[in-house]
Formats: sequence, C-alpha cells, structure tokens
Amino acid sequence: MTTIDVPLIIRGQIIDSDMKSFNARAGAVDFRAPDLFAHMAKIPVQAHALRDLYSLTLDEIIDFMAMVGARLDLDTNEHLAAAFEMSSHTSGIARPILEALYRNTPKVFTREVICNFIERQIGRDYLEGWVRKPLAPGQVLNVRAFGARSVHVIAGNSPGVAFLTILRSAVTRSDTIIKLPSNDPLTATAILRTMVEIDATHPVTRHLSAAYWKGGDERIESSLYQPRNIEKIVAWGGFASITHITKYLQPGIDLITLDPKHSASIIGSQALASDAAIEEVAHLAAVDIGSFNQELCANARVIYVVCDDQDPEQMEKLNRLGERILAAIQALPPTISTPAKEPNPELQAEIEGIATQEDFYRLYRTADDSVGAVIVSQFDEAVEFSDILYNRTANVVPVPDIEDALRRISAAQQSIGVYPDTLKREIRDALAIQGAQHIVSLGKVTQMGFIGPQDGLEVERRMLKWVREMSID
Amino acid sequence: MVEDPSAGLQLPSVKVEMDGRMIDSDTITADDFFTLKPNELWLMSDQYRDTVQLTLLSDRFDNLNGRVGQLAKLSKLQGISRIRSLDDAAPLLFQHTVYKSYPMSLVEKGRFDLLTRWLDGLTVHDLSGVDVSGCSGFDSWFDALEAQTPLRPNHSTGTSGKLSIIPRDTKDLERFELNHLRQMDPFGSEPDRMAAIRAGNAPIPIVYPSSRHGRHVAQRMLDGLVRRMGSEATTYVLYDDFLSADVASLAGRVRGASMKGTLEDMKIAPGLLGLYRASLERQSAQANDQERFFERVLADLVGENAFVFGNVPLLYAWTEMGEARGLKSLFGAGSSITSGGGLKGSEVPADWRVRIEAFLGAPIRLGYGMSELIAGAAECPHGVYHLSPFTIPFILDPATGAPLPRSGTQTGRFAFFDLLVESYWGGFVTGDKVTMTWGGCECGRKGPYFDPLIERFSELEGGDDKISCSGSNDAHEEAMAWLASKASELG
Repeated sequence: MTTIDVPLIIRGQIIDSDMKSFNARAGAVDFRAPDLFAHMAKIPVQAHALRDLYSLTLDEIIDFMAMVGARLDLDTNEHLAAAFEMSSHTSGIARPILEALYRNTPKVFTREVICNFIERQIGRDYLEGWVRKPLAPGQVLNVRAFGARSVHVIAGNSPGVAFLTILRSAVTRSDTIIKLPSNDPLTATAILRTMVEIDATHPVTRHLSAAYWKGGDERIESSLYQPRNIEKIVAWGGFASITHITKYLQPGIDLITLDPKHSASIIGSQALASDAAIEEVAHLAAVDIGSFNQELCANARVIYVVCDDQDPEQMEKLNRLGERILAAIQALPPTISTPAKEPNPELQAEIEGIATQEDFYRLYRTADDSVGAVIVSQFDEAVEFSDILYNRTANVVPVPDIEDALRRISAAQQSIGVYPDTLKREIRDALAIQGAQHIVSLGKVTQMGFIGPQDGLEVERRMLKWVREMSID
Repeated sequence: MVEDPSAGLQLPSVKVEMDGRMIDSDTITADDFFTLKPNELWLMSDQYRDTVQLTLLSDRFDNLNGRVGQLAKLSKLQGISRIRSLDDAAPLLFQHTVYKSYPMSLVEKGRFDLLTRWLDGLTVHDLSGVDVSGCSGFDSWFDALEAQTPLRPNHSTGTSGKLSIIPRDTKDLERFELNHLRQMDPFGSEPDRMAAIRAGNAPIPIVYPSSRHGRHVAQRMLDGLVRRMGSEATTYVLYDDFLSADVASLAGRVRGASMKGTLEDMKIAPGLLGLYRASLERQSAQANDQERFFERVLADLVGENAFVFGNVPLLYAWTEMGEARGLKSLFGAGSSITSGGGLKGSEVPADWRVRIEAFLGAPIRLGYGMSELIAGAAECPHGVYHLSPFTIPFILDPATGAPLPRSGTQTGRFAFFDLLVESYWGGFVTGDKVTMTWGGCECGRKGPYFDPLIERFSELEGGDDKISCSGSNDAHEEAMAWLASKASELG
C-alpha cells in the first residue's frame, strides 16, 4: 500500500495540515489530504476580488501560462513527476501511454496553442474588451465576456482534464476551485504548485485553488455551493458526483454537466464486402476500441454493423470481423494501447457467463484475458453489460440497416465512429438529432483535441458571463 | 478410489458407522451423506470430509458432464475430463452470471422457445419437448415447465435488474426443504432451538414479514416449512400474495431500455402492467397490510414461541414498525429467529441486531447463503459461520481465479460446489469477498468457517471518489417514473 500526500492549494497558499486519509484505489493506493472543512473560511471570494484579473491584458495571462508550461517538464518538475507516478498506479491507462500524455499535454501551454484556443473557442475580442455591435441608428450594443466564480469537479481518468480545466480558467479570467478526483488528485495540484513557485502573487495563481474532499461531504458542499460563493459549477463524469451537486442547485448557480459517456461505431455493409474490407475495418475499429486502453469516454464499446442476422453467410463474415478486430487490438503498438493493467472481475464474470452461449453470442478472446475480447452478438441486441465494456472489450452487433443503428444512439453516446467515410455526411444530421456529440471517421474517435465543442456544449463560452452594455441616443 | 497416483491427492477409504450401517467414503452416495446427523457432520475428520466430498464431486461430474450441455462445453474448453482433487473442479465452477446469461430480449420478444433451449443447457432434464406456446412471461413459462417436466426452478429477486434462474427439480427441491429442517437440529450440547416451538406437537407458528407465495428462494423455503412443520392457519405473512417473477424483472427490463434510450419503443403487456400497478397499489396500501399483519400476530402470538425468518433489511423494517407501535419482546424467548442475506445495499443502522432482538424477544441466528446454494453457513455461539459439509468451499484468488490453499485463513472470492443438487451442476462462483479459516472452532465444529465480514466485490472496486468521463448514468429512477406513468395510464 502506497500513501501519498496531496496538499490543499488555496489561491497561491500551499496547506498541508489537518491531514485525513482517503482511498485512491481500493486496497492499493491511499492518499492523505488536508480536511478542507478546517480551511473553509479561506475558500470563497467576493465578486470584487476578480477585479485584479482585469488589471492584466490577455497577453500577460498568455505569457504567464506559457511560462508555467515551460516549467511542466516531466524530467525536471518533481510535482509533475509525482503526479505521473501516482497516476501510473491509479489510472487504467498503461504507463508508457501515460508518460507520453504527461510529456505532450504541457505543450498546450504555449503561446501559439493558447492563442488559437482562445480564438476558436471564444473569440479573443470578447475577452479583451467590449465588442461593439451597432443595432440601429443611434443604438449600439457592446458585449464582453467576464469570468465567474466557479467550482470544477474534474474527472481523473486522463491528466488532460486537469490541464484543460486550468487553461479554461486562466483565459476566461475565472476564479476556479478544482475539486480533485481520487483517481488523479496530483496533476492539477502539480500545475498549481508550479504556478506558486513562479509567482505566488500573480492574479492567475491567486484565482486557482485545488482541494480534495469526498464528493457528497455535506459539511463542505452545503456551505460552498451557495450563490454568494459560486456562480458556476462544471461537473465532469460520475453519476454520483452530479447527483450530490444537484441537491444544492438554486437560482444563481449554473450547473454545466459533462455527463459520463460511452461511445459507439456505426459501420455500413461495405465492411463485409471483401476480405480486404474486413481487415481494414477491423484495424480501424480496434484503434477506436483500444486507444488509451479504452479508458476514455470517446472509446468505442458497441460496434453496430449492417448485417442480416438471419443470413448465415453474412453472419459468418461478421464473426470473422469480430475475430479480426481482436487480432487488430493485439497488434496495436504499446504507444497506443497495451493489455489491461488490472482485470475487471465484474466484466470477466459477465464474459464467462456468455462464453458458451453460442446461440446468442460468439466470443473471441485469447488464453490471456488481459489482451481484450470481442463479443459478436448473433442477433440484433447488444449484451446487457455493454456499460461495463472495459479493458479493450467490444460488442459487435448486427443491425438490419443504418436507420436501425441510428435509433440506438442517444445522448449517452458521445462519439460515433462511422465507416465508410461517405456514410458520415449522410447520417451526421440524424446522429446529432439522436444526441451524438462527436461524429468522426472510424479509427479517429480519440483524436479529439481541445478545440471544438465538448459533449454538445461550448464549455468555455458557458463558463463566461456574457454582459451587454448599450448606448441608446 | 484415486487411480492415478500422480494426481497428487491420495486418500485412503474411510469407513464410519452411522445408524448401525457402515458407510464407506469410497462408495458413499449423496443420499447416504444427506442422512448424516449434525454430530456426525460437524465432527467428521478433515480427511473423511474431503474424501466424501471428492467422491461425490467426482461421481457428479462423471454423471453430469455428458448431460448438462453448458458443463460439457466448459469442461471441453478447460480440457478437464476427470476430477481427481477438489481443486480440479475450480475451473469448472460456473460464474454467477451463467444462470442469467439469457438475453433479456427473449422475454421482450416472447421467444420462450429460445429461453427454454437456454435453460435446457443447464439441466439434465430434456426440455426439447416442452410446449411454451401459451407463455407470456416468466410466471407462465415457469408454470409450463413445472406442468410438463420435473423442474421446480427458483429465481433471484433481480436486484441487478435481471433474474437468475436456478433449474432445480423436484428432488433438489425436496433436499432444499429437508435441509432447512435438519440444519435446525442441535449440535453437541448446544440447546435445541426448536424444542420450545415444537413442544405440543401442533403445527408451529411461522412468521415471515413479506409475501407468502412465489418461486423466489424465500417463498420456496416458506412453502417447505409450512408443509413440513406448520400449516397455512399458523402462518403469518405481511402479504398473502404471489411474488411475480414478471413484476420482479420488470424494473430491470425498463431500466435496461432506459439506458439504451429505447424506453418509448418498449411494449409491456397490459396484463403485466396491471400486475405491476397492483404491486404499486399494494405498496401504497402497505399501512393497511401492516396493520392487519400486526393485529393477527398480536392476537395470536404475543409471548408464544414462533419460527421467524427474513433477511436483515426485512426484519429491521418490521422492527421499525413495531417500535413505532411501542412493541417489544413480541414473541416467547424460546422462538427461533433466522436471518441473513446480507444488507443488500440498504441503510440499516449499526445497532440493528440489538434492536431486532429487543423487538422480537429472542436471539437472531444469522446465516450466509444464496439462492443458488442449498446448504449455506450458520452462525455458531462463537460468532463465526460454519459451512455445511454438504457444500465444498473454494476461496479463489480475486485477481486470477486460482483456488487458494485449503488450510489456514484465506481471503478471496467465495465459490462452492453444492453436493445436494443432482439435476444441474452445483459449481458456482459468487461475487462475495469472504475470509475462511480451516481449523477447529471453540464451538467444537470441525471444518472450515467464515469470518462474519462478508462483502461484495462489486461494492469494493474503485477509490473513494473516482471520477471518469467514461461511464453511463444509472437510469433506475427514470425507469421507475416511466413505469409508474405507464401503469397509471392503464385506466
């Protein structure tokens, strides 16, 4: 059992007293963090406290972030190295892939990337000043976007979430309290500690805090989630964490939820047209299933393929596709995907349950369960445990036509990988209407980046308060 | 009995005298074994118990391997054709998911022929000729199976949303009923917990604070108790009704549809919806049922010795009702109160045991078992749970599934082989994390016993507050609201 200390960081101040123990991964990793309740008085700020962020130009904020980014080097930054080390124990993502994430993600904190991010996500003019919009002769509307006092309940399955949250907070001039996840309490902390070392009094540093408390701790949440303290809550993942928060919702608090999601693939009948097509589709599907060890919301889990489940010849091809997907998963390079770090006993038990039910399912796997598995349904239904398909496990499901596949998509599926490419344009409107939020060619679902809407939302714009000032003659 | 010396386990045959007969561990049958009395069962040497268990297990495997389709597939997959040691059977234990590995959509689509074919793979009985053409749900399907075959299945309550179906037959069911009676027999110098209740030789009072009829294991048990030592007239239940498997599974079916976003496409037969509405109405009329139940119990049983059973949340809920009425020491001190079944995720306070005992007026004897197992474990005066020798335990490494040594104290996943069932394969891997100790207990019982702390692996995974962008919403509440609105539209 490893025990790690996670300090509390409040506006440039690092606190490591009143330590309490928490569980990062049952039976494997513990950590200690200060009891936030003992320091609650330091947490909220009054609205006027945000004025100092407006004494800075956006360029000064970008320069500071770039300076922070330059110091987030895994080889020389002990805080980031400690975060990587802890994540390598708590994350389902394999160490070499995690290492690449910890090396590459800090590159988003460079001037060029931040400028592009601001322009694409918000529009720089709205952050720099009032944007003039003449309405009619003698009437001018001026609009400017202002930061808000916010809590971000962030996800811990990828370190990118901490980087993105801090970037969003800085460029929107928000006051942000990050509620750390138990599965990655150190990445955001490492970035904030680096900021403190560079300039503890910098307004950006002074408006970022990071704390761990157990989600649902009423002592903390009932006093924190008050409109006098908090204007916006951005909550990632976790049904339970969002359910806790909804108790405190009232007028004056804007909740932005980034719900937990799963993703799927929709594949046309062309995939089964030839052996070459089967091979190509198997490889593309394997990338969507296996990248980042299937730890992300964008990873494919259920693969709908147009195929007549009453036609033995077509079903034989579909089964072969399943077999080839497993082979392609095994062939993924370790920089993209590795065998499972930890078995998932609940999933394993479900797989054993259907292993010999050939009437309903064909199971493709190897003697080593950590490799992954592909379950090919022999009729047009996904397995009932499709919400726990992890560790590179996918369910291939025959559907009679594309229209039928579309009907199975809802807002619970974030990313839809589509094959062939030509089909994507045909069905993108229908997919969006069903609730899908990210439509992309098969094999590319995890190449999402930070640019563009997330889960159907323009998160940065939602984080801001859009204020109008009018001149009327 | 062990033909291959290289197999590692060589046990000499052991002969003991029982009821004036010589029982040979090499040739013992399950029927012989089942006749053993508590003193014989609990005092047999480890060597004798292991030998008998291995003999029966090995014979059972030989007998069922060609006849239970799913076992044949698994044994072929694992390359196992003989069982020469208890641990040889570990790779052949069915995961708990096997008994619910049917696609739920078979019920939606009314494909009871395919559901029957699925069950056919789990029992020795030939179900190929069963006419299921008139079936409209689980209840009528069970009716058809029971009318046309020796099957007497029981089902789980479907807390996970899907019913497990255990294909017991008439003989298995008889063993199940008899075992419940026999495990009440006293061991050694421990008091006979049934003596006071049985005094007078009249049908005994049986109290169960839930539904009277059904195919769930509790209702099956109640049937046996009533028939074998009680009577309908001396049976006290909260609801004198039938626990429908269709109603029990409906919530899970709707939840599944809700998660898939196909709720509005879901068709529920009006008859079933009517049953569901009746169960909702019953819940809202619960106060009346409770009042009637209390009135009857108070009129007939105050200070009387009764046989009371129910899982802890059920007994606790009843205790709360009793406390609200200011009742305590309801029954005679010679009553038998049996409970177990875990806390099933319910919010029961830490002092539940003291409060239930104060209300009911007699000590609780806790047990550990499950729908899939006939002979479970019961608490001894030293507070540990002794597993019946009719059940072979396996403690599996949680990560690898490999059996841990049958010695010392081991913590892992509990799996078992149920020697008392003969029409289906009794090997089963649970989702429970247990600690088992091999070695004697101060109560005098030999053989392995459980530590009382039993947890579910599914509730132990993850950290305190693990948040991931990957996952799905729990649609339970949405599903329930949808069901209630559909039921209210029924007119």
